[in-house]
Amino acid sequence: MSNVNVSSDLLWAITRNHSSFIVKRGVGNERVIFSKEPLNLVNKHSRKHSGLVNEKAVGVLPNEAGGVTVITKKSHEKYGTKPASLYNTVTFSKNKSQRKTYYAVVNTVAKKHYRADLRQACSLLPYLPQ
Amino acid sequence: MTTRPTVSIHGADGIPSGTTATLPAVFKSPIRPDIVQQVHTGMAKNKRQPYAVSEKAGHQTSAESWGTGRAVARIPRVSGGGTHRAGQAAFGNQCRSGRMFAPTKVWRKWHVKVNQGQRRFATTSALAASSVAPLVQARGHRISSVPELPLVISDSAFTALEKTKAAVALLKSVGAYPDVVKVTKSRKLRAGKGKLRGRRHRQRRGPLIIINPAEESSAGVVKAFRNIPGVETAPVTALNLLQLAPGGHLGRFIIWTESAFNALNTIYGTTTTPSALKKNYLLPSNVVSNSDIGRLINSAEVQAVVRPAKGGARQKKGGKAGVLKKNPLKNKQILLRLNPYAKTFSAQKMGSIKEPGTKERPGNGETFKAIITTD
Repeated sequence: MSNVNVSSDLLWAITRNHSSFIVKRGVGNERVIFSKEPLNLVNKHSRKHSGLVNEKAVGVLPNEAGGVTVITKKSHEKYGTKPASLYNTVTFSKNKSQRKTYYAVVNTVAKKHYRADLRQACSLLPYLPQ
Repeated sequence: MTTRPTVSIHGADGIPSGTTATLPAVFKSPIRPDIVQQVHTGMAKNKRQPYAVSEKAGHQTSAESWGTGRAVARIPRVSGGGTHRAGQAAFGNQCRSGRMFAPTKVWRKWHVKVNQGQRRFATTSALAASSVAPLVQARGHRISSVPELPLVISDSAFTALEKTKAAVALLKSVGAYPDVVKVTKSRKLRAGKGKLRGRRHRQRRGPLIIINPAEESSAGVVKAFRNIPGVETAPVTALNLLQLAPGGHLGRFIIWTESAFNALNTIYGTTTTPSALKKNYLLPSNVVSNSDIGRLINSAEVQAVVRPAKGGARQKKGGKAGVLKKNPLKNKQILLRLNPYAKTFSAQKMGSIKEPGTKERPGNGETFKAIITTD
């Protein structure tokens, strides 16, 4: 079930200026607006990277076992109003080599036509095991 | 939308009980943060109590100006002698123990009238936003373990709910407890004088539980929940924007009892059937039926009438996306497209043909010599 009067564009218009995830830093020309959203790969408060607003979003986080957890959103149509079951998580062990983990993340995100535009953002992640 | 969306009703254990309710029309109302904010600002002012400084403050002296000639400012000065106060300036806002500038009055305009239509619009807007998970999260509520929004809990879970312990257990089983934990952790000592005025602590807001006051159990439910930090209860018949959108920010986390949820259609009506309880009231409808701009732009109807993209390969900006602008000075084909004569020009090496001419320079001519040798 999705709400017809709500779209990503509307959500962005609303949360752009008011969101509990916003972190503002710097003054003047150095002003940057960051985001604390877990599904934000570059932690920047922007329409493209916002994990809250976009129907498809990716989060790559370090997990307790020392590996990497990749979170993606399930179908908005089916799970958009079900916060507890909205997310898909895939974990990669720390024993997997860095290169393989990287490829696996990119496979999940970009190659499977999920969010191909976030490929670059994935490669910048500091969380991936060094 | 072909089918009307439904919401599953959760039992006391947080598992869908199998019964569903159709989503009341109020959840389809337009979400307008601007209206909610404006109405909230007005309504938040209506609970204020007048305050003012004493009418007499700073004027309880018989000071008179000394006039000119005494080499002091002409401000009124306290008369008499024998005390330090004598001769001190008085009354002025710049004076020690003087009156304040523009003393506050109790007859300040404390309250703001907000039109009923606007209040109702804001309320429906806030209700609609409460069913949108991203907006609830953006307000700061912890809802990652909540099974569904709007969260509706069956009446049977509330019938014998009279103890806070049971209320906490219910919140835990429906995944709402992390939001209460957030509230408990956020409790801080307030900065400033408010500490002395009955507002010692400040804390976040937790879930709002909306009940149907017509239910017999409702009084017990209110009591059960009232000692849980941040949790508030509200009757569905008298919803308050200050609770639905605290701080003017949309997306309060709301827990509905089944009967309160089902009462929404009678209370608010729909966009076509008037409300049963509010006179001549229809729900506001959306100006745009589909707010997904990408889908609108890519729809067959719009694509059928848009003009083709401007510019060809020559033009980068305003041209087709993905077409690289090429430099005509370096790329011969592009140069020829712009200047067809360039082919002849370079074939005949016209750029390096010397112009036949004499080497006459100024000062070299006959006239100059004639002038310089005259006399």
